[in-house]
Amino acid sequence: MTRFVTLGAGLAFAFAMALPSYSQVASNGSALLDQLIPDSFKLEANATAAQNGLIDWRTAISYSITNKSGMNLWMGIALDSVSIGTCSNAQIYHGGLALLPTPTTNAYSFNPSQGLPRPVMVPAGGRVAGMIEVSNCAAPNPGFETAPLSLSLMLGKTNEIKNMVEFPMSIDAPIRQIAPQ
Amino acid sequence: MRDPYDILGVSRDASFEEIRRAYRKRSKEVHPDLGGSHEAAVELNTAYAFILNEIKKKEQQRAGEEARSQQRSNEYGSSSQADGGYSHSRSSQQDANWKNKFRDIDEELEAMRRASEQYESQMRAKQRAAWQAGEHVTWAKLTWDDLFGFFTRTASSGLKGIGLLTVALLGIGSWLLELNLVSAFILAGSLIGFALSVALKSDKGGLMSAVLVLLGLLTVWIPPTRSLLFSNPLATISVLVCLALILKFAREAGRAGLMTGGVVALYLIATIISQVNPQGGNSHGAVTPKASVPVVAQPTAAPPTSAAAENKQSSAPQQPQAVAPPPKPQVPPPVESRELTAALGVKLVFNPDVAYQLKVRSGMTTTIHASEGTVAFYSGDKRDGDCQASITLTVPSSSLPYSPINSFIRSCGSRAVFEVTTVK
Repeated sequence: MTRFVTLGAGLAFAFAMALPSYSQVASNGSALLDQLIPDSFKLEANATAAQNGLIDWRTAISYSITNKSGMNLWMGIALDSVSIGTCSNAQIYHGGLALLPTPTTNAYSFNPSQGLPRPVMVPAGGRVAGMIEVSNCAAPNPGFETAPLSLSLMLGKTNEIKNMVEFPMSIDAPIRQIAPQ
Repeated sequence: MRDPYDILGVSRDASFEEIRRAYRKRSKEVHPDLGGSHEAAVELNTAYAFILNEIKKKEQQRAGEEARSQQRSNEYGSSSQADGGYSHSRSSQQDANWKNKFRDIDEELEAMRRASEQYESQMRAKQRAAWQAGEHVTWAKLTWDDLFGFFTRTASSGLKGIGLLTVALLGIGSWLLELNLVSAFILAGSLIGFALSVALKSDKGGLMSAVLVLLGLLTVWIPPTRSLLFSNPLATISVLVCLALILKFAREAGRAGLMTGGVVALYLIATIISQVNPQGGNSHGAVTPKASVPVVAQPTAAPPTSAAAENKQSSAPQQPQAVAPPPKPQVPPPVESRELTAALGVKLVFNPDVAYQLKVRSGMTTTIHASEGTVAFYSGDKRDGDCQASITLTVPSSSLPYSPINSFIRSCGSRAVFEVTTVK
């Protein structure tokens, strides 16, 4: 009898813990979000689109981000948050910020040769630059001289991804097409 | 696998009586109580049951064929009527013999089934007695049949079975959700322990496993618990050792166990509090001043830097946008301090009711201008001077690139946003 009473109590507790609202309440980072305004980060970028095969287009985004928040922050770019024009699915990145899984990401893959992606420490006033390649384009870029670039920064006071918050950014980035080979 | 007939040492056309005699004889040789082994006895019983079923199957097949041939012969005319009575009586005699033989075989098989059940129940009783006596190694003697039977019974036992499966699903789901090793080990181990405990009808084991399941779920859903296990391995090991001591003491000396449990509980609570709330109320990772004490507790804090004070006085007539200070609140709000670094081009955000520790470039003069709101310097909870929209700060050279100023900065009223315009 005792084990069934315990089991019942355990079930009730487990269901209470499993409530999604609890996870939201338990999440932190509100103090960091209080400190952020739209001008806290400066994003600059340009892109080149190149045809890859007959129908595939790939777009390489060169970006630089300046930390103007007044805080030394651990930073990254949220996985699956990068898009430019009609292109998405950013998997390849070099230099600068890593593509990090968000705190709600359950499973993801990474390049074993690069190891697990880690946040990068960017001091107050610091500038970080890098390249991201997006491969899934619904239509060839560029259709226009600029294309909207959007990404979500992952920010944290520590390098624990679980405690990081997302900060969306968007600019119109100049984009040019490289002639097919 | 050996031939069943070879195991019993009989030929393939041996009669039931010969097979039974051979089984009785071999049983006396291989029975565990008479110098044999359990494995050999199981092998003999299996072979005997197989041969009995073979005999039964053959007899049934032969009976069916004879019945069909009898039916065909009855369909012929009256020529066979003369000896029909003899055939009928012979057939009835054969039926009686077969029924007797079947009955003997069925009785043998039933006796073996009862013996097997009796053996299993004896083994379970031994395991339970061994568990209650503290010989937990007996768990290793649990057979796959026991586990299979347990899961079969659980699946068909209604509410409690559903409850157990739900816990298992929650555990596995949490495992997949979090993919952290500590929770995975705790949940997997405790769920297996719980299943075994129920199978062995061990209340104590079930209770312990259920508590471990809850601990595993805690590590999944309450991150501080997990970080406690991750970041304080020594404390975790200590707690586990103490828990083991509690169980030991609780068994032998209830009061000592209770006292030990109280001490461990206090230790756990203190450790968790220190882990969750290391800065005394600031659990969101906001940076506190170096002194790591609330601003209100600082005695006779130094006044603002001389340059800042001079700037305050000199710039007062030049800053028409400086506004009158807001009325001071009767009760000071709880102070939460955060650290900002005044690098060139940075936007400094000063939220209401928050004290900021500002760091500026060592050995250089930093100027910040307001784009929104005004701020004032504070020593502890006491304001030094008026609210300002433009501030020039200078700190002496230091080994560090940025050094904190001696005062805190707080916004006057609503949120203030300042931009660092010059650092030279």
